[in-house]
Amino acid sequence: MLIKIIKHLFLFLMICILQLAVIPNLPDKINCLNIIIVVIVFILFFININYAIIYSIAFGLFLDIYSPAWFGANLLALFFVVYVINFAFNHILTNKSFYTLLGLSFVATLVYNVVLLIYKLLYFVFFAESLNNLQKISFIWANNLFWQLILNLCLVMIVFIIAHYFTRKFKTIFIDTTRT
Amino acid sequence: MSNWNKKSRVVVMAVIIVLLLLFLHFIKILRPIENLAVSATKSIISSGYFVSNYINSHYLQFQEKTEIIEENEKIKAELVQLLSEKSTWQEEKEENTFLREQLNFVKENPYEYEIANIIGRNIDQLQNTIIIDKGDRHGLEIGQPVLTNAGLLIGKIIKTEKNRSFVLFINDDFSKVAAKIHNQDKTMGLIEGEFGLGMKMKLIPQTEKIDKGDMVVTSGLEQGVPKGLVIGQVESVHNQPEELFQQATISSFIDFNKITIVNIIKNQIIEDANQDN
Repeated sequence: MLIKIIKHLFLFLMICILQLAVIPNLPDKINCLNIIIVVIVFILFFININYAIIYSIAFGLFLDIYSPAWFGANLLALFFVVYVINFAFNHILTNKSFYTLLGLSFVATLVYNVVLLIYKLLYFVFFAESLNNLQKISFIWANNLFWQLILNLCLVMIVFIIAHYFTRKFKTIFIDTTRT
Repeated sequence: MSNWNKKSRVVVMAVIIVLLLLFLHFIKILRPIENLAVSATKSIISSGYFVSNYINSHYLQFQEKTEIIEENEKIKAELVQLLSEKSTWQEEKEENTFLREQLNFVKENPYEYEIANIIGRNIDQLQNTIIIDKGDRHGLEIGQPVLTNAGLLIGKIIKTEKNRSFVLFINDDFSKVAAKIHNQDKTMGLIEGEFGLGMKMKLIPQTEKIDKGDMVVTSGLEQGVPKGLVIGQVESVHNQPEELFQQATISSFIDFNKITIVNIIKNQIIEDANQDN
């Protein structure tokens, strides 16, 4: 049990360091990558919702501690992501396949960014002197979202393909088209 | 059905936990735990930031021709130093003229600095901010200017905690800095960020003459921000006859992605003139 907790704690810390300290220093566009969303999607998909909720709360708290934004922005965004992808997984993308995993990653990235856009717009409405820049903000947001979607999906594919060779847990979810 | 109830219970419990955490944060009960978490992870994140920054800068150097980059960096460093010297010289010249006019000599006011390491960057891309490892405990306050080790202004403190602070870069869309251009007219204006992509100097009267390459420094009209801190130089001027004011695009000498250590001007040390007399 203790080893399990240490393993999870280690994974959590590694992901936080990667997201907070390493990814922002990567070259332009690549720094849009959001590894936390990918990890949460993998946990929900391969383990269960309980772990996904625990991880989303822990990641959200940690990111909020290191964020100048209103406390709770990341916590609520990540929690909302888990809720939405869990709903999608149970009602829309119910088939446990590789394509579902990609679909869930797409939805998770989209939801996270939409929540943060709402946050930014609220911030603008309350604190900005004029709303002239809203168009530019929306353009930058759309640009970042585009790159984040591409990079997150690429990361999901890479992690999936690598893990496919190391664990049996991933082997069952490729749709076998050779059988009739 | 029971599985569905179980899942609903988990989600409801999680919602309660999230709301409870937010409540505990806002009544500041969580503060000691947050500070403990920061203290425990600060050094690891700081090291991670430093290493990745180091690797990234070396990766870029590897990509391009090393010699050209080295030479370019050398020239840039010299330029920054020269511009900094020029700014100091011009400020001193102005000050000297003023003092001569007044026939009253006052000592130069030194500043009290605090050196801080960058421990992280805002990941949500809502704001261009960095996190530094000094806070309230070290005397940092909101609005204090943050400089690179070469003395160039990079931003201002927007939020402080016990042992960390958040710095908003001058190129963020929420950043505003009172500035002046070192030209013949000593043009005053307001520098605003452009979504992390650049800076614009606004509210410049149409009658003022600005040239490309003119140096831009802080005007000293803001509380806590001394005058003469180098911000950048004029890259282009946008002058529309029908507009009331003209605008200038300002380019910075800093690569905001490569900063690892910063200086914060805490306050001005005011010496008692009577004591010296």
